[in-house]
Amino acid sequence: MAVIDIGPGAINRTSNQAGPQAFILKDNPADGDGSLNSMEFWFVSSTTDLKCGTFYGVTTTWTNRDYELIGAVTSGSKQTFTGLACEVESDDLLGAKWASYTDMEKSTTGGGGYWSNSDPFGAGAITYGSIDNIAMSIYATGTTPAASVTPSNMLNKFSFHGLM
Amino acid sequence: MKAEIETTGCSVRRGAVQLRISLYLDPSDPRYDEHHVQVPVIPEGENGPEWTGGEPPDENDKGACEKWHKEYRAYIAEQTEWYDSLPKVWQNNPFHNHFVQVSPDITDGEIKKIVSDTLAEFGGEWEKGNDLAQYWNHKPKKKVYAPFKVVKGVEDIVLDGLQKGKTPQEISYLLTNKAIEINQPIADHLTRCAIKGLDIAARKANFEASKWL
Repeated sequence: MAVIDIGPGAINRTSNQAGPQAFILKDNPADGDGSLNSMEFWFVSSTTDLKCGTFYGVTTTWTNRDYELIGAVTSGSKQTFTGLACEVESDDLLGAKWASYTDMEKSTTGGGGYWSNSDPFGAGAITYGSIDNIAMSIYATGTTPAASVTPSNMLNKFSFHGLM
Repeated sequence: MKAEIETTGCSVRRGAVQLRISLYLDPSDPRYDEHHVQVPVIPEGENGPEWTGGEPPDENDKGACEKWHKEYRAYIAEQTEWYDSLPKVWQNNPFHNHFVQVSPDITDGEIKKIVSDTLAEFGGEWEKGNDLAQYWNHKPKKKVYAPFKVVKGVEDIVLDGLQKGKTPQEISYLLTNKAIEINQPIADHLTRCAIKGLDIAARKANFEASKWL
């Protein structure tokens, strides 16, 4: 079982970034396939409706692979969330979206990222604007192989009409 | 230390009721200062400088990109200055947050035990000085309740619909309108999960736990 990590790092930075746009960060792509069990964030001002997830794609077109609804997050210290199971594959990037007029810690140096005014979570492929020299305080870790369990008898019990 | 259910993180995930448990330190607990912090007070009705420049332009348009980034950097500097100018207050943040996935048939007694066990487990690791994300990643995982996985967004639509007072029939209609085909047993199960999650959230005070000692 290897540990996977993804995202720039949830640290106290020198600048800030307001929502409600969605951001995908280029720094530290995922280094394995599996499941992200924990996520970390650092906000300047307390936020609500935080979603965070994994993205795959090329150039400025990215698709959300999986995401977690985190909810409200308080500001001023690193907030850690465990018990999650967000699918991730090698080279995926980490992205997040949160409420308007609330700010995440941000650096004006770093690998840059992508910006969209849409909600990309569960929305398929979206074209993003590219933004230089930023890093934000999001980070996730997990393990490979995936830790979540799907009992086979439940899958047989329910038929999904192709929704799996 | 104390633990409580954080309602904003309760949802339906992978066919289960997902509950978020937030854990707080008392002043007598170790490393209390790490999450007892000063935060800016944002005056009511004020949001600071507002970004009006829209999304970044096409990166092949170098001139437009350069102009956009210059304006964006100026906005960020202005906003940082605004934050720095605000008065600050002390705030006690959670030292940890943990999600659990449970059956919609879970009893109140079982929820209380989960909240209490979560506080004991992560509180104990905190007292030992351990990094809680690393602890969780390296811990052998028990089987979690996760009966199935549906297309992304379906569970959010069900939960959101119930929160807005829609009936299960109206939610089924919403899913049909979005061209999401879902069979009735699954729709019923997700609705039961969402109702259970909302019920637990509404009675969150019943499930609080204090230090295990």
